[in-house]
Amino acid sequence: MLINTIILFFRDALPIFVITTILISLLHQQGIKQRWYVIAAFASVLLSLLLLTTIDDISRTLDDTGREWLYAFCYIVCYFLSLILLGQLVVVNTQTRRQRCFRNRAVAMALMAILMTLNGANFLIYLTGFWYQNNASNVLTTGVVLGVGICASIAVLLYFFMAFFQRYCRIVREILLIFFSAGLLMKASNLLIQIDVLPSDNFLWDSNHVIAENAEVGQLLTAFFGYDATPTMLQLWLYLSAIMLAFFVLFRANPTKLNQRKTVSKEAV
Amino acid sequence: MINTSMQFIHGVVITLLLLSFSSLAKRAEFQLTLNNHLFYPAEIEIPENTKVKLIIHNQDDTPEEFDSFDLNREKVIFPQKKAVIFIGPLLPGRYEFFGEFNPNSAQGTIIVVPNKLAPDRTESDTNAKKFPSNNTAMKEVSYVN
Repeated sequence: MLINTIILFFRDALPIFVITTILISLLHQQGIKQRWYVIAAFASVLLSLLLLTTIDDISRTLDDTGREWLYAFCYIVCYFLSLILLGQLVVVNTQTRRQRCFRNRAVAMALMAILMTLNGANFLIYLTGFWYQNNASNVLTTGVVLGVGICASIAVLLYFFMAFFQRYCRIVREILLIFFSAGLLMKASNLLIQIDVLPSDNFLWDSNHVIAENAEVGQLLTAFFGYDATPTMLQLWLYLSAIMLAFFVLFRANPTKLNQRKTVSKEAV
Repeated sequence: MINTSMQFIHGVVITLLLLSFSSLAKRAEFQLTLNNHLFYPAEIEIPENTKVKLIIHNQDDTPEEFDSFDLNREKVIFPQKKAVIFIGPLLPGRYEFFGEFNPNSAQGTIIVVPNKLAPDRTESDTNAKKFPSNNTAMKEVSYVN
C-alpha cells in the first residue's frame, strides 16, 4: 500500500507542483509576489473537500458521466486560462502594466485553484476510502510524506532548470506552460472519448513499449507534456492545434517579446 | 485577444456538439463486477472494431479506480455504485486493466476477438444477462495471486 500511495500521490500531485513552479516563476518575473499562491492553495483545499463530498452525486448525473463532463470542462477552461495568461505576459513598462499584473494574478489563481481542486479531490477519494482500513493511516501518511518529498525535489529542479535555460531561451517558462496546458486538453479529450462524446478511432500507435505511461518517465512526461502512449488521430490533431494556437497567442500578443522584454522592477505589485 | 478566445470557445463547443452525435448510437453492453478487490469476470471478450459500453459495479466498501494504459481509460468507481465507460474500436488482441487502488489483486483483461468469433450481443440479450456470471460470452477466470 505504501508504494501504491506514493504512485497515486505522484500521479495527482506532480502536475500541481509542475504548474505551481511554472506560474510562480512566470509571475515572479513580473514582480508579482507569491501571495496569490497562498490564496489559491487555501481556496483549493476548501473546494477539494467540497468536491469530495459531492463527487459521488456528480458522477451519477448525465447517465453516469457527470464526473467526466466536469473534469473535461475544467481542463478546457484551464487551457483557455493559460492562453489568457500567455497573451498578457509581455513585460514592458506601460501604463496598463499594473492592470495586467492584477489580471495575471487572478488568472493564475483561478488556474491553480481549479487544478489543485480536481487533483486534490482525486487523491482524497483514495485517502479517505482507505484511511480506516486495517490501520492504514500510518502507511498512507508515510506515503504522502514521501510523495511530497519527491514532488518537491522535482519542482526545485524544474525551477533552477528554467532559471538556467533562460539564458539560452527566454521563453522557456512560456513553452513549458504551453505544453502543460496542451496536456490538459489531451486529458479532457481522453475523458470525452471515454464517455463516447468524442469519436474514438483506432490508436495511431502504441508507444508503451518505448516509454510506458505507467513508468516513472512516462508519468513525468504525462505531467509535463500530456504524453499519451496510445493517441487517436483526433487527439493528435487537437494536441498540435492547441500548441500552435498557444504559440500564435504568445507571439501575437508579444510580437517583439524576444527582443524587447524588459524586466519590471522588483517592487511589490 | 479575448474576442479571439471567445470565438475559439464557440468553435470548440459547436465541434463538440457535432462530434457528440456519435454518442446517440446504441452500444453493446458488457458488465463487470468488482468484489473483494477482484474483477469478475477477469476476462471479457469483445468484438473487434466495435465500440462497446462497459458497466462496472463496485460491490466493495472502498472506492476503486478502473485503470488501463492499454485502453487509455481511467474511472473512479465509488463503493456500492456503478460506473460506465466506453471502449473501442480495438484491433484483436489482449488489453490489460487493473484497479489502481488495489493493483495487486484487481486485474483483468479485455480480449478483442475477430468479428466472426465475437458473441452476437443484442440489447435484449444484454438486459437478460445483467450480470455476467451466466454469460457464455465471458469467461470467469479465478484470480491467482
